[in-house]
Amino acid sequence: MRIFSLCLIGCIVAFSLVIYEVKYETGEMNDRVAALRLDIKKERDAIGVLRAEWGHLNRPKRVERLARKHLGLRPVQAPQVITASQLAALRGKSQGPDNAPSRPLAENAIPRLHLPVKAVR
Amino acid sequence: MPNQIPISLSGRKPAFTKPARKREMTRSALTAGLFIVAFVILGTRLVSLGFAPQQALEAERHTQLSTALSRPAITDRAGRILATDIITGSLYANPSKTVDLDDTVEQLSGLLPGIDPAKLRKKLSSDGQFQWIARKLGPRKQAAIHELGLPGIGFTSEPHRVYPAGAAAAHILGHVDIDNKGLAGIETYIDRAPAIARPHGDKWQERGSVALAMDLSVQHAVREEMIAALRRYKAKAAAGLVLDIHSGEIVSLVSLPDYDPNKRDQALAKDRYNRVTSGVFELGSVFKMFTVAAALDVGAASLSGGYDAREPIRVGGHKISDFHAKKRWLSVPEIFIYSSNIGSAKMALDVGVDRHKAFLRRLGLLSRLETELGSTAAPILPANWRRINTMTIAFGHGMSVTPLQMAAGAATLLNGGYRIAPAFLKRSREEARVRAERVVKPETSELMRYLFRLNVKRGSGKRADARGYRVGGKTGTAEKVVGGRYSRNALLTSFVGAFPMEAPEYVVLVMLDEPKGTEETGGRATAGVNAAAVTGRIVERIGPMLGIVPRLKERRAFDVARSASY
Repeated sequence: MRIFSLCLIGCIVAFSLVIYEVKYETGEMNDRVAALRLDIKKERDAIGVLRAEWGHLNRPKRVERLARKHLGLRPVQAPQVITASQLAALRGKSQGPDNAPSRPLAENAIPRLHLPVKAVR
Repeated sequence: MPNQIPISLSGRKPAFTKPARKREMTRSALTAGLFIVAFVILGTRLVSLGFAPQQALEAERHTQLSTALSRPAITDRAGRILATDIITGSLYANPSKTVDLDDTVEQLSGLLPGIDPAKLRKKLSSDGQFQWIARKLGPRKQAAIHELGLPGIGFTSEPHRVYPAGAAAAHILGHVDIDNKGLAGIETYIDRAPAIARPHGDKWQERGSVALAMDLSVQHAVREEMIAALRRYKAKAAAGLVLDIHSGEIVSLVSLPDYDPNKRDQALAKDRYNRVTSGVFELGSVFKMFTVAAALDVGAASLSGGYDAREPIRVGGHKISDFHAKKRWLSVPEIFIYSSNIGSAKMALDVGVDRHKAFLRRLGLLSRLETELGSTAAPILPANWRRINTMTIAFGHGMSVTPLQMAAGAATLLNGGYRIAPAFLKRSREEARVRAERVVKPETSELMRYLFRLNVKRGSGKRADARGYRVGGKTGTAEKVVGGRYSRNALLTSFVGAFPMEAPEYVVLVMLDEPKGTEETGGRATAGVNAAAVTGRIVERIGPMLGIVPRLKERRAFDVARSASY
């Protein structure tokens, strides 16, 4: 019986150690969770600021000013808009009437790129 | 080990007699039971405590000092950010913990030039535990104050509302006060709407966003054109509105002068109110669309009918005459496109006072309109509605409505007769249709589309004809009441149009307050030369954005088939 009791006492000590260890780890993990949460919040706040900034930089007023200044763009005029079926009709007719896209769009619309490309074997 | 202890852990035979032994066993069982109960209680408490700290921590984190509400973001219909919260730091003091008062005051006022040192001293020497010193400081300032390392002061994070697009949509968005409470526009709607709860603190990221019906690109284009018009015609104020004819969505709303919601003190200026929803105006001839529609709808007139417009009408001391007098018999379409007051008045009498009134009521012109921004301003109606009132209201005199109501009424006339409530929040056409009641016959709507287009092709609205977009509409030039009488020089011009006219998608309303004549308009300042022209420019710009395919050659059938009918 005495041996049994000693065994029990040993078990209690062992379990206490395990529990202490687990508890300690949990505490550490909780701290990590809290730290991560704080980081996430900070990141989210930063994203919020960036989104606001993105919205500010993309406000139509600014984009319009820049597009007019640097790209020479203007609001779309009705003759500049054509549908896919009209596009087919335009093919071949290289000298169109007074409508804006007088030449087939394939030549006009896509700018040729002149990139310094190295010869590929 | 002492044997004399009655309760033995080792279970050795105690030196007791039989009955005594029995008694002792019950006693030990009882004690053991008590211990078990105690340990169970302790155990449960331990387990519950194991869960508790985290909750407590969380709760602590969310009870903030900040009084500012966090708000959902507001986006346009394409998801572009129009309003969002950013986190800023606010400086507070705990006067009971301040150590060196003079030093604190001196150092803080050195970094915060906007704060009166005397007031700061008073705050810091007060009894309480909490005093705001400065709200919503930028990160640089925060760091500088933090560096001072003063005891008894601290920062708390507070959401701060920003409007990245600036003044572009001020009158729809509204603005907030320092505690992030909505003061105007959709911001107040968010505060009222139970579906969008706003807890205190900083959980704003999870608040989601509110999508407006407004399209930022369209809004910008309309605003730019309205600003240009304000300048060109030297008008005092202006309003522009684009309404989806089927869903009732307000795609664009501009009221000038407007303000930047980031600078809320600007909003207080009196002339910056939202003219589209909060102003009522006697809009003049645009009202003829309702007279003609009423006559067609109740069958009092048809497109082939006509009225004698040779002589002005005299009723009870009033004289109703025509601005562009033709002095002849005018057909119903002619009355519309030449904007004949005489013809409209006679037509309204044919409809009859009660039926005319009932028709206007069905279109929602006689009562306030409910929108997300609250009720619109109440229309001003004659106190005692008699024959003379029906006659003048037929051409838009003696009754004032908000431009929003006007546009909604026009949408009903053109969309097949459905009365659709204008909406600031995004919704689908199906959603709007479910609640819409048909108040005008589809045939009437069809005829009105034709008349609208005819007026732009041949009548007073020629300048509204944006190339390719088949605009239709009605002009209105009203004389403003100055010092109790109508003034010849102070005009309120408007144009209510729609496009593309064979199957209208959008209603466009333009209103100019006291436009002046220019060289280009030959010195005239009527709606046909300004409001109509502005509408044309607007449609030309927004047409491609709204996905309307321009057609340079119009289907003749729409134009000619009905021209034959009069």
